[in-house]
Amino acid sequence: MFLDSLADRLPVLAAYYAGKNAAQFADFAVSAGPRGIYEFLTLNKWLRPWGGPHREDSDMKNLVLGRNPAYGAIAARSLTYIAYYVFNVFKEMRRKPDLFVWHEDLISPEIFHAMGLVPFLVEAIPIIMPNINSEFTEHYIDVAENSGYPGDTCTLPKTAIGMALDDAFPPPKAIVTSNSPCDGGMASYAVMEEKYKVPVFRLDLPYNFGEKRAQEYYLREIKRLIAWLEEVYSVKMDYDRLKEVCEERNKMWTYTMDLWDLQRSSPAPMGGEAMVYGHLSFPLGSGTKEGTRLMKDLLRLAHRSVERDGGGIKDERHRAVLWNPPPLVFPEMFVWMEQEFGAITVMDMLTFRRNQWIDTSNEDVMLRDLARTLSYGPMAQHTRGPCENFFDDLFYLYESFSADMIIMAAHKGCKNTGALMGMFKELCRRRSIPLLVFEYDLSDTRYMSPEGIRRQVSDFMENIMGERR
Amino acid sequence: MLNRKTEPLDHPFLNVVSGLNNEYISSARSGGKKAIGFFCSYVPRELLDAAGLVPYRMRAPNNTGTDVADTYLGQFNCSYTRCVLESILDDSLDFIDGYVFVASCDHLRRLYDNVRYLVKPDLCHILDLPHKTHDDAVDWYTEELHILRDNIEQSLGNKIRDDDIVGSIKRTNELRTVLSKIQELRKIDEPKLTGEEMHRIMVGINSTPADVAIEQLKEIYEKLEERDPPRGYRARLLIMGSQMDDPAYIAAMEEMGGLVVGDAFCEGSIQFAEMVDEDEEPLRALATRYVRKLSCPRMFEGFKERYGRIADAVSEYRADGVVIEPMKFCDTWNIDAQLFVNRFRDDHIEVLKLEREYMLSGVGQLRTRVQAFIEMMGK
Repeated sequence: MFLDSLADRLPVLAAYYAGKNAAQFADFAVSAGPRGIYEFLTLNKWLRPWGGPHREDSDMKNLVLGRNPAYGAIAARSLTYIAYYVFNVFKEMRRKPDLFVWHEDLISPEIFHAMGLVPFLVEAIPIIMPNINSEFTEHYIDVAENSGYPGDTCTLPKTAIGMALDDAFPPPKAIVTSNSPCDGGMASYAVMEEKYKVPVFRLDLPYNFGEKRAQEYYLREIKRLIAWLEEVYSVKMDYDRLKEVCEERNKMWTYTMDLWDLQRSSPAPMGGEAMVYGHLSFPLGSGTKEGTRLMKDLLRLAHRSVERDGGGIKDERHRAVLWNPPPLVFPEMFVWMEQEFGAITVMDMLTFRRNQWIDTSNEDVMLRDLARTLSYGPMAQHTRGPCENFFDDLFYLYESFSADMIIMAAHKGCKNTGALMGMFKELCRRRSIPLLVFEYDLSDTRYMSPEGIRRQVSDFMENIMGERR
Repeated sequence: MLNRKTEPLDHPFLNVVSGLNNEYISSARSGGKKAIGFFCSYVPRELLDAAGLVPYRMRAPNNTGTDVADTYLGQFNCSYTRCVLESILDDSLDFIDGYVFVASCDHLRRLYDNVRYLVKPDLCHILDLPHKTHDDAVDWYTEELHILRDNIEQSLGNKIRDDDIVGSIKRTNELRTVLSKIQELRKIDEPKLTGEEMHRIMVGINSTPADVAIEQLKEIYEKLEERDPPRGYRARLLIMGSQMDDPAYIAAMEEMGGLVVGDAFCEGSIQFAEMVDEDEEPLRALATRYVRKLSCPRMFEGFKERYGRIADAVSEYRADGVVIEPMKFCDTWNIDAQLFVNRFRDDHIEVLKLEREYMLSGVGQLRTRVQAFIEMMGK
């Protein structure tokens, strides 16, 4: 295939995907026309810093170069999907402005799609943009803090707060959020509510969400959400459409499971930030044909990585499981670890999720399973409930993916997982698992620079894992 | 400055706060009762009382360092959880026989994990408090209380009959009634007691059995009626915010002339005084009262109502200004506090936000800021 032939030549590959992104913008521009582009830029103030100064090493080519060709293609393909998402949301928003709905990152969009709404994942921009320009968040973090919001709150919701206060987003007609994954994220929507004065629905996920009665309570919450959306938007839930959406999601999930199976092989076909980007397609577009197409492409490329390239990187010496989110402001960390130490991150907390299959045989069962998939969303399934949820999956992944080290990304703003640090170290020590805990801030290099992260990783790889630079 | 010549309120109950343990708990324990530490204002102490247990609101204000706790918790966890864990680990709280948590915030949820991991007490229970207040949420919390009841019975062998719960609800309501009478003495032209004294009473209530506290409060009320009110204050303040159980904090404000007349924080009297319906099925009555009480910002959709109730309290207690005291690293309170600041300003209510640590520190700065606040109000 054309894509695969390009994958043999990485610089060309990077240029190909950059070109695809430009083409997506051009497609959007043509459909929107000059007035639409003007509106788009006016409503999306966050786009303006895109062309501004940013780190030289923050570029797509750095996520592609140095990796085996198919792995490079996986990273680039995932990023291209994200660009597609952004343009498509705003294209749809122009088409159906009255049906625009904001949602939080732990609420995947199946219900919105089935009701013909235009969902916009609020955290998508604060997640994606610092990967491209690490200084993107600083202005918005400062806006939030200068408006009196706390310096220690996670910088992801804080960036979203700053963006809202700075009118950087197109305003919502209504907002759907939840109590996941953390207090900071949950509380940030109180600011949004005050700012926009629009209806807000909050899904209330119980602490012990895996229990039967908790699942039943959450199902009732989902039903209340549907009724609320019907009232706010004057639309009806189309259960036939929901069935189609859920079946599309199941296809996507099937590809995902196959991908994870391949990921267990050594050498692994892929990893690092490419895994995380790829799986962002669940909150962004699960239940859509484009989301399924992405996972299908990733699976095909992963097969190619194993069968033709002999794995994602040239010399796989270490396999890591990453817990907590990767630094959004330093995605190149993974490429660097691969090249410097032969260490590939084979699975991570944002990627791994359980209980995602939806039985579509009837409405009741379908809604029940949909509620369950939402309650087992990535990160939330580990930050809610007792610490066994956090540790059991982690050690399962360590065994199941044949890892030889665990990386704990000790994000400054994550009070939830920070409170498990002592237990974490002791439990790893008892199991003789090498554990790297590195300090950083998810979205702000002013707390910890990329160089600071490199130094922490280098010390560990040299002193504990016996690597020599 | 408050008039130092005002006779201090002299009653032993006000000294319960001096130590972690107290004579009432020691006496109850020597009589075979167990003391159960609870961590949040959403734990219905009535249920513990009905089980023949002594409910004790966990506190550890005198810690000067949290070295051991810091090896388990993170540097960005709130100092309340770090202080309490430290005191559990260094045996300062060794009179506590079990724990009841609420899944109220990230810090407390993880403190529960750490206590289970490090201490392994006979009773270590977490109540799954919903974030909403609709009927379904009340049903859910009612079930949670049934589960807690079963766990207490199984773990500690204390049987809890419905009649015991009804009796405990009546007892605790009686305590609330006496407390409300004392609160009335804070709303008048010349309040009969200082905020520091009220806070001492509240810590006493949260550290002793209800029947003990009722008798003590009745005595205190009689004394207050006869008492010359404190004079010389410049402004009346209402305090709101997160967990606080050290009267020295309020004393530092009052030394600057700000008489604290209303306390709408976790351990304050305003939310405590809300009654439980005695005619409803007892566990559901408890669930209703606790889920729908003056809420913590961790509850959803409560901002508007919470603001309304606090603004009403400002009028009722005739406060000149509000001090919001969120604890550092508490996301919910710190974000909520700023929303409150904005609303108060819109409504021309004077407000001061004072982020603080759990243990009293930076007293000089605290005094200066309160003094400046009072002057800013033109008092």
